[in-house]
Amino acid sequence: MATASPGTCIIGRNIAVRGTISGEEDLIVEGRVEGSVSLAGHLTVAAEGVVQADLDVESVVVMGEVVGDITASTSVTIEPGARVTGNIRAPRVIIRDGAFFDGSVDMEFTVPDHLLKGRR
Amino acid sequence: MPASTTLGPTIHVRGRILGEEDLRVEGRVDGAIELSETLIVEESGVVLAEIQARDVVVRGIVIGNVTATDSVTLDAGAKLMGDIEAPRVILADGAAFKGSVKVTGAGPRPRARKTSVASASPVARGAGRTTVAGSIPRVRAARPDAPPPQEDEPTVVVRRQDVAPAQKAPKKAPPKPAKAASKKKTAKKKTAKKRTKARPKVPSRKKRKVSRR
Amino acid sequence: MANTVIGSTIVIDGEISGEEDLTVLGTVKGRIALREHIHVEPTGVIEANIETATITVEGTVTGDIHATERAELKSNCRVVGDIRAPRILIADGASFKGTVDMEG
Repeated sequence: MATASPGTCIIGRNIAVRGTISGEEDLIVEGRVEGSVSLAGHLTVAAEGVVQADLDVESVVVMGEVVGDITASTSVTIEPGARVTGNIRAPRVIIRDGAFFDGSVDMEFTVPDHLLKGRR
Repeated sequence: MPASTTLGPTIHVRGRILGEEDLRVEGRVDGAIELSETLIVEESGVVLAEIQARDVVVRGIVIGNVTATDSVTLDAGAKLMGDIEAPRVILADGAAFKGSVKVTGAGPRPRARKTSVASASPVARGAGRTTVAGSIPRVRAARPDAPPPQEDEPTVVVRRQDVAPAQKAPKKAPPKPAKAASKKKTAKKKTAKKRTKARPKVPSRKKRKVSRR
Repeated sequence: MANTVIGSTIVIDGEISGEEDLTVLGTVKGRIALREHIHVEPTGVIEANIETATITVEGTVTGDIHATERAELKSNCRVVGDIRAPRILIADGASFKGTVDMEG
């Protein structure tokens, strides 16, 4: 998944960024990012990548570590070995076996109303 | 003789279910479920209950908090509203979930290099929201075993790269987690029941953001 | 569809309702309202009032039984409670304490 195609930015493993990253292309983080990421594209946090930032992206696959809230318009995938701490909001959230996640998940969905009645 | 318990699609239980065997719910349960084994909520199943079990597999609807001593799996089609506490939490594509996840126990195997991250102060985070700083204190203090860092290491370089094929990011096949955890079921069996009551709190490494919605 | 089975280690404290057969090897306390058949296996213990179409008891029932068709107490069962059913069979060796009402 960590393959770069033209139009993909890579933050290499010896790179650290602090601040806001925004863009309209895919981004791969192999190094370190602190601050926030706002991307109209796909974000990959590689196994060695560390992101301490709030993320607002189209989709994200985490193989490394993320500390921060994640908002994705399509999907969030947390791969085995990844560590994610923060709240996730996305229509699709996938947590694989062996991933660490601590936080909340908010996916828009409904259950029949009558099931919610009378809940404490 | 059928060994495992099944509640068929038309069955509706209101109350508390306790047991030391697998339970398959195809119907509906309102109340509470406490099992030392596996609970499976099938596609047709609806469970409005506080759930404690060793493993919980959801394919239907669950409204209520789920605590497992081993794992919680939401398969495609599952709908869960409630909080999850378990050492292993698996969310399949196509599962719907609203609530929080708390990984209890050690969680999945920790990764060795994580020490550096753990020491990165939460203070640093958020402090530099709007600026691209010229330098960032490198996190190396907590890595006594790491090779000495190069002093001329570049700190901030972000630019568009037209990556030549040779420089392509190495394909990292993420190491598949050893399924060791699932093999120690028998050993856990006896303690599972007690543990559900007095669960050790996991010290949270970082302050948790809660209010953000 | 598979029948509903309450396994031997299971304890249900509450109310069970449904429209399918129920086999009880474990314990049920509370109330059972079913439109089909209930089979209480030798290990089964029911402390509940029961409404059903038919019931066969090989285990223990404490509570009143109302069967719209038939109630059968097998040998070695123990039943304490009143039974109301149009057809009632009590086998030799069954323990039963209560009243019988066959008017349905």
